[in-house]
Amino acid sequence: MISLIFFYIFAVLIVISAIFVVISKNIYYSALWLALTLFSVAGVFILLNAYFLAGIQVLIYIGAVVVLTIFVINLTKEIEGKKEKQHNKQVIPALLASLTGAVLIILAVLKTDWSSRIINWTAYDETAKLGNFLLADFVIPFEAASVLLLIALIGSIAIVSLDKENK
Amino acid sequence: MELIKNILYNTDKVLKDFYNWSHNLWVSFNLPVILLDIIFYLLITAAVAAFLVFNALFIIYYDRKVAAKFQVRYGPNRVGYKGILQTLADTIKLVIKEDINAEKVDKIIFFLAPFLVFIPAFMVFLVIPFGKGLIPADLNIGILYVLAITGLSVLGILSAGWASNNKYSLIGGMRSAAQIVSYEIPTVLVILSILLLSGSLKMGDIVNAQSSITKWFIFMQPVGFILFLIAANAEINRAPFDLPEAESELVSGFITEYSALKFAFFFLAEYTNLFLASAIATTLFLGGWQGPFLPPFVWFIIKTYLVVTFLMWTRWTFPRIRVDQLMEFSWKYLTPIAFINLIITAIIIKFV
Repeated sequence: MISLIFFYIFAVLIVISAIFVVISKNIYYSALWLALTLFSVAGVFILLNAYFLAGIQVLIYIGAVVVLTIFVINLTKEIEGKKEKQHNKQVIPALLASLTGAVLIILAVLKTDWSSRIINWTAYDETAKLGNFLLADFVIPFEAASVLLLIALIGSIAIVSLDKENK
Repeated sequence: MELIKNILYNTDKVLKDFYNWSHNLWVSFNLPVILLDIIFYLLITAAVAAFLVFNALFIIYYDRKVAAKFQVRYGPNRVGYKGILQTLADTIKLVIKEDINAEKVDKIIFFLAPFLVFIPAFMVFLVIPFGKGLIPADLNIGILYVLAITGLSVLGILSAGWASNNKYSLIGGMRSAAQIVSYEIPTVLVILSILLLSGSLKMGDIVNAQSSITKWFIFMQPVGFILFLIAANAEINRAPFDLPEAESELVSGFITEYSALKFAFFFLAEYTNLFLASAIATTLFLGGWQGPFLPPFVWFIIKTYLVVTFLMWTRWTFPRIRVDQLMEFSWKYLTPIAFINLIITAIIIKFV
């Protein structure tokens, strides 16, 4: 009962703040609304007993991604504090793309047999289980993802230093 | 006499008995149990809030006295016995002062920022083990929760700097964000090596793993302890890492435009964070509330205040480091040392 009430609170918060991320005229406000969206998602994770995921969600998405976003906004003098229009003439392609995404997600939700996938997470030590999944069962995808991130990291550093040499 | 002894040494049992007693009373009146739970949650929150405020009042006074000792002067000594009521007087002054809003600040974010800084500090108290069983909620993810929530305060600091519409504030906020994000990495690595020893993220389990003085993690992780203290000191923005509010360069950094109650919130958050950093260092390295003879709660406070005193000592003896040295120090020294520390810990646990 209580968890249902909290689920609706978080769901409404997610939707409203996500809409404000898109329609805010001030890009700094968008970033703060994004933080609220991600925080509410962490709340939903807690309702699903996925405490570890909730912690990681807040730590990485708000503590790192949103903070870096705001950092970049502060560094960019052109848009700082200015009222920016957040849409251009690409409304129809954007609509098509997001509709496709929405249809795919709805289809996936409807077609999945959820009853066979409900796991009683409280029975496990969730964090240990997750660690075993990542570093034993799925170690190759996990390492591949890390290599991908490393490539992105080195690539961005290389691009920045190229820029410096040209000047 | 027996009751007082019980309250001091078995606080959790006394509280549990009290809860059960009121639960029975509640049921006999046919009231919904959920209301009672809500009342108890509110009571716990109120108790933590009261502790936070009184602790901050004392810790500010203590900081000023310690500073005075280091600089061979008296410090506050007029209001109350040896000036003990000085912070109370200052607080009243701050509350009744005029709340000045500069004209071109971003009103909404300018108003929100102090709360964004203060609320995370308050939320961390949820997992601080004050004594045996005296922990508001022993979450499964304990220390991860602390890391996640403390990361939130960066948002408030950045927002304060941005909303003030003032170059000193903006630079202060940016410095602070860069600093907190960078020093979070050695902190997390040190905490990881602690977790290898404790085998659990729960604060209660981490304390229980250090059941005797020889098992305190400070003796197994001496390097980790020093790294943690340095990084924690940097994360709470205190000297020698107080670049976000370096007076000689940035007026007061991100709090330049703030006055009255909003300023008080930043001040409260700063000293609460000092206490929290010390409390977490105590929990992770100094055996938390464990100790002979004295009640657990008293042990916890003594150890925490020892760490607080140490942090104040460093604050008043070291000069502020330069801004270019700041990042270098974290990325080129602390992070590699923390990595080596983690690898050595893992190897020793695996093979010894």
